[in-house]
Amino acid sequence: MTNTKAQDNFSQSVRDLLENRARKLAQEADKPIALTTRRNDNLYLGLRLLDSVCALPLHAVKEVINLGSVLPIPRTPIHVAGLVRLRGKILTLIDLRRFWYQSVSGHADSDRAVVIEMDGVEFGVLCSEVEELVELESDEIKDFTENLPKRLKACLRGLARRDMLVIDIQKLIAQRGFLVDSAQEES
Amino acid sequence: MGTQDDFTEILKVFRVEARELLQGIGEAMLTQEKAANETERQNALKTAFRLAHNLKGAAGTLGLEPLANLVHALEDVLGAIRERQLVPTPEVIDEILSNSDVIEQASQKAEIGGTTLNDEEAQALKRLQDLLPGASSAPAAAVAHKAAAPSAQSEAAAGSASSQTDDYVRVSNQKLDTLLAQMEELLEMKIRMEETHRHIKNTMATMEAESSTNLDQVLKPMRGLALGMEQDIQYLSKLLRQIQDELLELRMVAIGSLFPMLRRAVRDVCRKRDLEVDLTLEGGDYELDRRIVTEMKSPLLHLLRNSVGHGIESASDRQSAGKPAAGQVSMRVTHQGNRIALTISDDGRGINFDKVRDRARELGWITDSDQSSQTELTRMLFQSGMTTAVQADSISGRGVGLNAVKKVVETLGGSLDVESTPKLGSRFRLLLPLTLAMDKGLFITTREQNFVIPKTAVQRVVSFRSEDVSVTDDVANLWFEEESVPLARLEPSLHLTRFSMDESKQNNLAVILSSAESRAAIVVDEIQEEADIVVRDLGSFVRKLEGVSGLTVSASGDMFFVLDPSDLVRWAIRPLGRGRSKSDPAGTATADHAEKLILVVDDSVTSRMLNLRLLLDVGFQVETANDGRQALETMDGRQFDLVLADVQMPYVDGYELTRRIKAHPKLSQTPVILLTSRDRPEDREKGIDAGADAYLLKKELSQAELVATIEQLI
Repeated sequence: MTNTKAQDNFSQSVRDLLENRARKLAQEADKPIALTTRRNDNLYLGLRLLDSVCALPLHAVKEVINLGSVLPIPRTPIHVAGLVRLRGKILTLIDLRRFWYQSVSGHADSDRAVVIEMDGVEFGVLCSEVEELVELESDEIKDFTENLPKRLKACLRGLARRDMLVIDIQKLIAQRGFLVDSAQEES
Repeated sequence: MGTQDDFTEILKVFRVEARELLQGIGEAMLTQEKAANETERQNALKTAFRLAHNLKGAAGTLGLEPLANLVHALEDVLGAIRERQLVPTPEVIDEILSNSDVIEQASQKAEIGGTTLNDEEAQALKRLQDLLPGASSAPAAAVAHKAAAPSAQSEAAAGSASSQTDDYVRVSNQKLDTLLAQMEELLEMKIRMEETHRHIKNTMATMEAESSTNLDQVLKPMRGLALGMEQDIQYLSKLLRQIQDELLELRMVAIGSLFPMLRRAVRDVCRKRDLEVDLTLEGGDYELDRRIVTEMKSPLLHLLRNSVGHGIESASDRQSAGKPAAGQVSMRVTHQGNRIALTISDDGRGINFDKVRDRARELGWITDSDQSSQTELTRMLFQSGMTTAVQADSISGRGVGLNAVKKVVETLGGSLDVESTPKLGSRFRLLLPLTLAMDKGLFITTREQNFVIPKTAVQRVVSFRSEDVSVTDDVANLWFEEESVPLARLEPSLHLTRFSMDESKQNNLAVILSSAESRAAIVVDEIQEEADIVVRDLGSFVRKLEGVSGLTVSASGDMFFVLDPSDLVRWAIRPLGRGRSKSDPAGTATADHAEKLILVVDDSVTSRMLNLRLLLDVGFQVETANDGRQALETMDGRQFDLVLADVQMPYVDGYELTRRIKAHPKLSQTPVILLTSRDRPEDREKGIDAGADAYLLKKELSQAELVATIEQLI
């Protein structure tokens, strides 16, 4: 009696698991996630990158993931931290600090990443911590006079709440040398 | 039915159908033109007529009246030909083809409720009507009447055609990729289940070992669980394999789907150049990955146009050379191991190698006294400066050069070569993988790092001794099959290094790779296994990595880089047998630490010695300079692979040194790492502004970090 019941419970939980998964996958196949369809351009996700706090536009954020094993990629610029698998897809991890400061001090051993998708380019941004969602009206985002590295400035919409770096993903992707394309280097 | 959305959806389907039907008509017209006998010709005409009739019906059903009228005129013309009231001269066929193109355009933008034809379409209508016998006197009424007669027959034919199309399913590539990704997750789940299953069994084993009678009550249900799970896993595995196979098959498309377009292109070139050509296309049934077929479209068009436009002589020239008046051009598709071979041959005038040699001299690739062999000249034919030049004056090139063709083929993991004999013709041979999805891979280990080599490129795995190797200053060579093959070691950092006798063991392992008729022996430490692999790209961020053709994920979920054999072979042999080439920035055959020369610039003797020692330790060649000024003197006329410089120095500091290096025409490619003890943002920015490739803090820096940074930059 207990035997069959346990089995029932077990197969029920497998069924639930499969059903949930199927639902999740079906959703992904159709449209990315609910978050991106209900687009609000004033919403940002706050991240801690070592000593600074960044705000990423939420409509470009697909999800936050915990990292498994990362495969380093030889022959790439230092801001490319490696590759991870994400549900059958391959995702490149980026260390923004290394890109901005061209220095090896960064998040080499970070275990979380925010998945960004913009204009057909997808990548994970390494971060030390994911903070809260923030709503920023455009007038809250100020131009900066602060003495920031040029490469960082070129990727920003501006500063908010004194020291929050509001990132413009399109500008970031457009930065020279950000995407890796050796075919381009050839020409 | 009846809502706007429904119509939009139906209109989409109609557009696809229209395109297919018109393509079918064009194909049938070409078939009848080349038909060997009257029956074949009549069948082709019947098909064309039927397809036009179907299209007219479809347009009429949707209320696309103007379009239906236009198709109606086409149908009349085809009917008249079939009834032998109109002779299908090449000019008539030209009209039919070009008007079909107009109809196709019209069908692609047709909207419900549209009532008029634009000028071009109206002209097409007029031209078609003018073709009909007696067009000038009496309008096409009589002919139209006749054309209506065989409608019962064509409807029956239409019925069989629609049952035929039921065999096809349209699936978007994106959807397929998603499905494949889902599959992979299911596979992962299977692996997790297997693990759980193992756990349960282990737990039970432990419990049994520490047996007590009560345990039976626990063990019984657990046994049941384990058994049930085992069955599930078995079932799941079988199911997954089936689904995966089916999905992969969905991606396959017959190469013959490109044939109509190729035939049409050849016909167009012939008409334009007033040439006669017998075109043979064989092997259209072979199925290849959809992406390969799509990507090969323009390369094949280009090669065939080349063969006709550039290769085939005029009929009179041919006859006086003792050849048949019609040029013989063919594309044959055959199997070659697990690849597909496409051979495009013509019996024309062949490639003019004198011209190629002249152009190569002009470009400074060879000197006047250089008597390059035909093989070398052939290789040059595929280099970028060459193609455009030779083509501009003689080939019917349309934007894509041979260089571009080769690039596409190689990106797809294929290879391309050409043979040509003056006066006798040319033969292009393309080898393509059947699929980009499934391949066999050889898992290898080099310096404790695993890689996969596509099995198709592996000629043999050999074990060799030091006496089989000859080493000169630059390269090591392995004696293999009575040929000297360049020998190099694969490093985890994706470079090849010269094989060193010092590390030679009793039995060393090398994989003999072949690509584009060249070979290289790559030294590895271990051969792991051979397995089916799915090669995928590196994602949207890193588009291409030299030396790597993609990534594969093993059954246990680990990722491995799949090496690109053509890059490896190219690196190992060096292009055209010359020294290190500029077009080969990888640095290539001898890119070991030992082959890399680094300049350490620091005014502090301690730091200088520290960095010198540190870099020598890991095998680099190192020179030093006391300050920026001396560094610039040292670099004058020489080539360093990297400069590691302190920021604060007298005379010329690190920033200035970087600026000057980056502004120097010959040195600008040299990577510069700035080392500093100052970590203020403005300092970093100054370094980046100057063009430094990396900016490292002395206090944070470990040897490993420094070496990693250097390896990434060189």
